Parts: sequence; C-alpha cells; structure tokens
Amino acid sequence: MKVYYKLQGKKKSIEMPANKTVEDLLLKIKQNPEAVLVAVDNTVIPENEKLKNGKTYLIMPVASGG
Amino acid sequence: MKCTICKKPAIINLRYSKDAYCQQHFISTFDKKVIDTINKNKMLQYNDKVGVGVSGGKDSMITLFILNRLHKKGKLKHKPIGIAIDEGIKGYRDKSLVDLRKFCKEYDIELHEFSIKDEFGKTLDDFVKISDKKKMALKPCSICGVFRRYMLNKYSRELKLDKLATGHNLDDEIQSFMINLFRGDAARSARLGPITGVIRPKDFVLRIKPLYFTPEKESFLYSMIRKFPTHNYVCPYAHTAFRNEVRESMDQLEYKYPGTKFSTVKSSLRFIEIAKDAYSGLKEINNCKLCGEPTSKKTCKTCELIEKLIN
Ligand code: SF4
Ligand SMILES: [Zn+2]
Ligand SMILES: [Zn+2]
Repeated sequence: MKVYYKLQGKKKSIEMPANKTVEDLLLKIKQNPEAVLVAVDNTVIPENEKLKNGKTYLIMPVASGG
Repeated sequence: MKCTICKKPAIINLRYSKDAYCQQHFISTFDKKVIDTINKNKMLQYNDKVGVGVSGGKDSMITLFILNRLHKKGKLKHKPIGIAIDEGIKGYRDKSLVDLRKFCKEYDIELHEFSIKDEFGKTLDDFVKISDKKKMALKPCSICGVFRRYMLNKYSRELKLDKLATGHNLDDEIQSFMINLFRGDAARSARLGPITGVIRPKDFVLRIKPLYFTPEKESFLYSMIRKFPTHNYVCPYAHTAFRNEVRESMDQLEYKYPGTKFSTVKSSLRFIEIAKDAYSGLKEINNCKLCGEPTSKKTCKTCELIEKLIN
C-alpha cells in the first residue's frame, strides 16, 4: 500500500507492505520513534498503530535546541 | 491501543511505564507528575516569589503555565513572573520572543526581558564572530550559557525572587550529566539536580526544575494539546553542540531498551548527591572584583570571558 508522510515541511510518498505500523514506517525512513511524534487526521497516534492506505502521516521531531 | 485508565483510543504509548493514555488522561498524569516533582523535592513554599526563566520554547511555557495555575488555585501566594534573556541570535531569539510575549499576554503574566547587548555591549552573534576570528575554540553555547546564567541570577536577585524555575526536562538533564561524564568533568554534575544553588543564599537565587522527570517527547505533546503559541524554533548554533549527538545516542538506547532514560536519571541523582557533598564547602565565595557578582575566584567567569573576547 501507499502512504504519505510529511517531515520538515516536505511531503513524500512511500510504498509499504500491508499490516505494517507507524513504527515500521519511521524505521524505514530512519527516524527514531523515540524522538518524534506522529499525527494523522489531526490526531496524535501511538507508534504501534497500523498504517492505513492513502493516509498522510505528519512526523514531528520533538527536540528543540536552545 | 487503548488508554490504561479509561479505555478510549490512546494518543501516546509510554513504553517505559507500559502505560498508554488518551488526551485527557495524558494531560492529567502529566500535571500530576510535575506537581509531585515540586512537592517531593520541596521546591516551593506558599510565600515564595517565583520567577520562570522563559525562552519562548515549550518547556519554559509549560513551567510558567503550571506554576501560574498553582497560584490561581491558591497554592502559591504570588503570581509567577517570566524572565527572558535576549541573547541576540538573529532569526531565532527575536522570533521566539514574539511567541513568548503572546503567551504572557494570553495568560496575563508579567514578563521581564533583559538583553545581552544591553548588558555587555554586543549581541551573542557578535561575540561568536569575535571568538571565531580570534580562533578561541569557544562553542557559541559556552559563551551563551555563561552570560545567560549570570544575567538570570543577577536579575532574579534584583527582582527579589525566592526561586527561579527553569524548563529543563528529563532529556536536558540526562544530556548534561552524560556530557560531563564523557568530558571527564564529572564533578561539574554537582551543579545538576532538581534544585540547585544554595551556597550563599543572598547571592544565589535557588533554581528549581519542575519538569525534571518529564521526557521531552511528553512536554512537546503537552504544549501541542494546550495550544501554546510556540513554534519551537531551533537555535542556529544548536547543531554545533556535542549535546545533539548525546541526545541521539540516548534516544537510540531508550528505543532499544525502554526505561534507560529513567534509570540513568535515577543513578545520576545518587551521583549528584554524592558530588554535592564532596564539593560543597570546598569553595569560598567572594564578590567579583570587576562586577561584584558572586564567584569562587577573584574575577567571575563572565568577566573573564568578556575580557578574553573584547581585549
Ligand atoms: S543552543 Fe546554545 S547558543 Fe543557542 S540558545 Fe541554546 S545555549 Fe544559547
Ligand atoms: Zn483516558
Ligand atoms: Zn564579574
């Protein structure tokens, strides 16, 4: 299936096997699940949620410097 | 995934405690943890006049918000105030101060701003350029940290504060501890801990860190849910810091072994206590012969730094 993700203002699409989780997506795009929050449809979701075809996942790094 | 408390859909899964929370219960457990941290560490007394060192970032806004609520609930006599240091970092602090002013206006909180330029004649950006030109091998954060600590202490005293709260979270503290360890400067960790600065009470305003046990990921979510007007801008100098690498390593360990951060902070607390005992009383505190601020030497670190940068 195809999902979209938005990271640092850039939107990209990625092909993922069925039954994968948000965590799998993060690992695939080399983001540590510990260091980000993920939202879909304006709601934050836990990393172990299943991915849904066609959805856009917003990935937010939580660290701010300074 | 369901909320541990009410079984509604969870928004966050805390692997270190095996709890998941919906929005409502995330907020209530977060608040409770911060209040517990304040109470267990005896950070505040009813009559204390409290200031919060604020930057326009999420963590200091949360700290100010929670302390302000304690005041509203009658648990703190005085309304807390905000103290901000404008370092003079173009494209960063100017923007984050806009967020901060908006926040303080929204919650009707008194805000005091002081700038490095007014205090020392030049902005941090200027000082960084000077130090580069002179090949001084000084990291921007080292200059920034010395000046900011100096000004916060000086103005907290002038504003007659009993306590100065800062927004340091669990991740910040672990990073500082590990950095000191890696650099062979473990004794420096005597300065860490949930409460610091008791050597000569009339000179040093006691520092408290209500978010000491709050991971940054959770403070990010809290500030997002509460819709605090922060953009969480990133300082352009932050990437030069060793700190970022330590942060990444800690995040990796936490991911592989959930709970690592909490056990690290637990060991660090034991260590900090021992270090405090071992190093307190060793130092005599004088007044800096140039500026009069408290120091363990003849001239304070800030005046030394200014001397090196300007002359
Ligand atoms: S990242 Fe460094 S230079 Fe930037 S505000 Fe923080 S301490 Fe100062
Ligand atoms: Zn719930
Ligand atoms: Zn001095």
